[in-house]
Amino acid sequence: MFFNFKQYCCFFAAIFIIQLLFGMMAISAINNNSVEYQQIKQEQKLELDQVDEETGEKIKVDYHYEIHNLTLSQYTFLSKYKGEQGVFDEQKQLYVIVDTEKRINELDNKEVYDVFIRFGKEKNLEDSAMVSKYYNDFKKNYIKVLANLEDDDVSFETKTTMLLDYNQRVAANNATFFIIAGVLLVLSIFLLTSIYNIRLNQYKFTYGVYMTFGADFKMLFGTAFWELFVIMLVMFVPAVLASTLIVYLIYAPSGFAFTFNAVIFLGVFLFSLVVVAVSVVMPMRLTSMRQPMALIITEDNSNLISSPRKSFNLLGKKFPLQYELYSIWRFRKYNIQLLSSAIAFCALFICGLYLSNIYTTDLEYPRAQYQITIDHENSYMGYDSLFSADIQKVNDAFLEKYPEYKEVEGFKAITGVEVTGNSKPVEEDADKNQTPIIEARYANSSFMLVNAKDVKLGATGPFVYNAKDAYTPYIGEGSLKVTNEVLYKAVDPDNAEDLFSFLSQYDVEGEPRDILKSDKNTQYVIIGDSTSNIKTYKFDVGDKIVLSRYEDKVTEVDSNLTGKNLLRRQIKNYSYTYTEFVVCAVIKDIPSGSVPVYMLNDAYKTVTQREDLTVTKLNIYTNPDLTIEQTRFIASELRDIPVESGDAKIGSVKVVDLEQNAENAITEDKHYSQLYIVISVLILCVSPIIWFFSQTNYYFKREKEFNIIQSMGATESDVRTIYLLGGLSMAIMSFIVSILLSYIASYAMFYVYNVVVPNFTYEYVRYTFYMPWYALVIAVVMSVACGFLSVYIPYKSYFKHRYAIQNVVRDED
Amino acid sequence: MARREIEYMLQAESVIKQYRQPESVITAVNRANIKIEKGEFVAIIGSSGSGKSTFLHICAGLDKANAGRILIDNEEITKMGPDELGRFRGEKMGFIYQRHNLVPQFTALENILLPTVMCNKADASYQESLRELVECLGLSERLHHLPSELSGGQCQRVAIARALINNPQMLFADEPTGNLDRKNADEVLSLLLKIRETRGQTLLMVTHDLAIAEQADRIFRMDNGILKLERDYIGGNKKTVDTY
Repeated sequence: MFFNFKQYCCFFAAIFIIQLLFGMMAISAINNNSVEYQQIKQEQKLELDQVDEETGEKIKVDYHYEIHNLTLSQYTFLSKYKGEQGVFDEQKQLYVIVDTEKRINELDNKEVYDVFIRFGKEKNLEDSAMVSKYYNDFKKNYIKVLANLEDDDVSFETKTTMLLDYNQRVAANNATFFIIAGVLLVLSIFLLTSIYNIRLNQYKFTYGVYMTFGADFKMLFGTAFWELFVIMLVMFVPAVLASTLIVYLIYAPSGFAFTFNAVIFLGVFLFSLVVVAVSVVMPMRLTSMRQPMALIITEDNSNLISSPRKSFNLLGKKFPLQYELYSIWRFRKYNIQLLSSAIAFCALFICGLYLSNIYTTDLEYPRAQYQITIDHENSYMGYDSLFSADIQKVNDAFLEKYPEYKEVEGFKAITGVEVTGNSKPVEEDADKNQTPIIEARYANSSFMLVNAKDVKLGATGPFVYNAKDAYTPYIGEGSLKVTNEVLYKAVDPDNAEDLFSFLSQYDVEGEPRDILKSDKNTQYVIIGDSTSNIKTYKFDVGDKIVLSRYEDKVTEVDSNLTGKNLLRRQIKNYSYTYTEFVVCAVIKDIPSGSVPVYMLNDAYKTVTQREDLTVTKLNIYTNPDLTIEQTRFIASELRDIPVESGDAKIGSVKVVDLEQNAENAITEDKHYSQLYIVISVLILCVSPIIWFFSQTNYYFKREKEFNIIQSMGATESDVRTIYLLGGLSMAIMSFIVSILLSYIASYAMFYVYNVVVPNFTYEYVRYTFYMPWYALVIAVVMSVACGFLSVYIPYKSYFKHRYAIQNVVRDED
Repeated sequence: MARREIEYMLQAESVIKQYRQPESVITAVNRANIKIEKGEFVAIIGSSGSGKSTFLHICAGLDKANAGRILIDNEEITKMGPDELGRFRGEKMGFIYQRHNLVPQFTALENILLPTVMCNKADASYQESLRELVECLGLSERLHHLPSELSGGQCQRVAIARALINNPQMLFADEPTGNLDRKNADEVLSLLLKIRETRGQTLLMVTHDLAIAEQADRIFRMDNGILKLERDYIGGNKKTVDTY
């Protein structure tokens, strides 16, 4: 092996890259857990009012659990019986109350308590498994008691902190690691199998000879395995060291302590061992199943040729142009395999960079920091102008607390309020949390008609509306398309500013405020342009849409019908009335399942036949630059908001801190973006390995052919031209295929993140489709250069032996 | 009676070929001389490693000699540049190897026609030659098969047809039947000789097989790089044999 290093250098490089990639992933996974823990420990501390005598700074403590709105009796119970005093004899001390905040509940002027708990007696209990155990014991024993002590008017709220959830977060991180490791395993096996197959093609003759002397699968596998195993051992230490160094360089700037675990050595070893073993099993199994003679005759490239049905008519054809074009065609199987496998890695490179970009986009994407649920079980109130004013008061209170922000022009602590739910859904609603945001198909079989010209070419949702098929047709100008993938949203004209503020986070064309100009003659809507985050419509301001209102049915519709078939049948069997709307604003990048259509309350009631528009759930967006301490202050202020009805105070709000700012900080410190860039570059390096290894072997076998044609009259210039044509054709094909595969890869990533992933996470983040041009340029240049150079190098090698033509016959001497 | 002017197709003069090893120099061809008349069939015999194939390759311009001259049809190929030599080979010479050396990605028909795409002759000039060769060599049923789909004998017939399609004046054959069984060998050889005779082509053949060599006009023996006339079947009463 070491004497024939040239033949094996591709394997050295490939196995090095495989070990490096896995090593990087394993080390970064460990560091991600460590960074997450350090970040949580650093950020999720509770600042007490007490001051440290030594430092003069406020004392900060770890805590695991928050309980809000406790009554005096509940608080007394919690503070008195921490476990050690015999309430639950079998328990040791379960928790320490690290801080208590006393507030006056504005609803009934009673005192309520917010307590912050740390599980375990020790100040810095690092054993997260033990913390989880204490937490479970706490839930089992204490929550029941607290529930029994609950006041009729006030219910307590609990919330776990990131520190308590650390175990689950680590489990989630590890699950992600194993999924990615699985993908890497498949890719690595694909890579190594590909290049081993290239080598096998070169050595089939040799293996055929071995088999004639009795070699079986076990022996062939042994030979192949030991070759790669030795390479694996040689590259093992450099790969682990390099991966440690790379990850260190990525993580070091954050200032977190770098973590390394010796188990990684074992992991990398086992991973590459599996890759090496699996990669040679299939090729050698297939080889051993063939007849020795079938292998021996593959001394040339004949096994790469697609058998023709008839011959080309060579008479009068130009040499060497047509000669080489015909050859390329006959070797199409080989060329396709080479192009697809080599450029597949370029496409993966683009996927990696796309992923890297998505992480950056993801961090910048507006997400709610809090979710407010308005408890109005015994009332009919919701988000109204008074509530809206209360939100503004929180903004004012924030500026009072942190006056330094007053100098920042246009600063708002709360940047948007989004209405998301209603607790009084109509029974047939599919998602009971989605009124007054209701989908057309659930709004008594409603639908939207749009001009065909406003539908993007190739959009699959809307279909052609045939008025003649409708029971109560809408006759409009031009051809129309129909869809029920529409999300109706009501706009309260008295509280619209919060909506406009929310919408301003997105790319809006037109003036959303014009919706307030709606009158009897012209009703306006604000509309999105996408379905499932994919652009479906090309609305302009001033375009017309029509929304249908269900009136009656002629005959029942088959309950087995779904989707477009159901809508077609509904149009045919039901009677509708129609309302025309004018688009006043188009939201270009709002995340969406169905296309959102905002209309004023009255129009909403008309179209959906809903009378009750009580809102119960709100998403609150905060300024992403706020510190965790500042967001905690806002949470506290939000909890103080009562729901009012005139002078009466009824109900309360439940505030859940979604901790988005903290999540973003953690994600940022995990350096996914940089990691993906490095991984992508490494994956890109695989492409030249395949190119050069494959083409070198291919052209090495064709050298004899070039000698033969020279003996028949071809000149050296002709042979040079053949090489040149081979290189150019590969470069051109690479250019086309790399653009094609890169586009497909980009679109696949876009589709997965915009359409597939939201189905599982229920979180609609909108990633715009783009082709990362710099990655595309790199991939295309790399492919074209490899396509050409992988021919140029064998060409140089061939002509280095100036009079190699005699080799064609030397074998025969 | 005036002496007949002899027209030589091939003249090799003092051809030397040496291979340099780290500690020695191997002389494969040692001052070999030969003159072959137009239309003559000359065989070179000799043991393995004697240098006969090397000499054949040098004569055909497939290999370079360290010293000496080669003239084919009175043109000195040893002075030609690679491209000129390539074109010259395409026009004047045909080669048949021990192994067929067909181009694997082309069918039998395409392989036969390969030399035609390298010369700028009119298409029609090959049609008759192709028909004749295919018919004579019994290849009509296998023309659209790849070499890997043909038997050894069929491949060798294709190789002969390929060597003859351009109707070259000088044929070189390096043990053309060495890979075939006796029956196939006899069949292929008789076809080759028949076509050669019909076309009046000159043939220089290297062979182990004395039975084949005996069909030649003259037989040379190569022994340790030295070429000697072994037998002259037509000398004396028909032609003059020059020995150096």
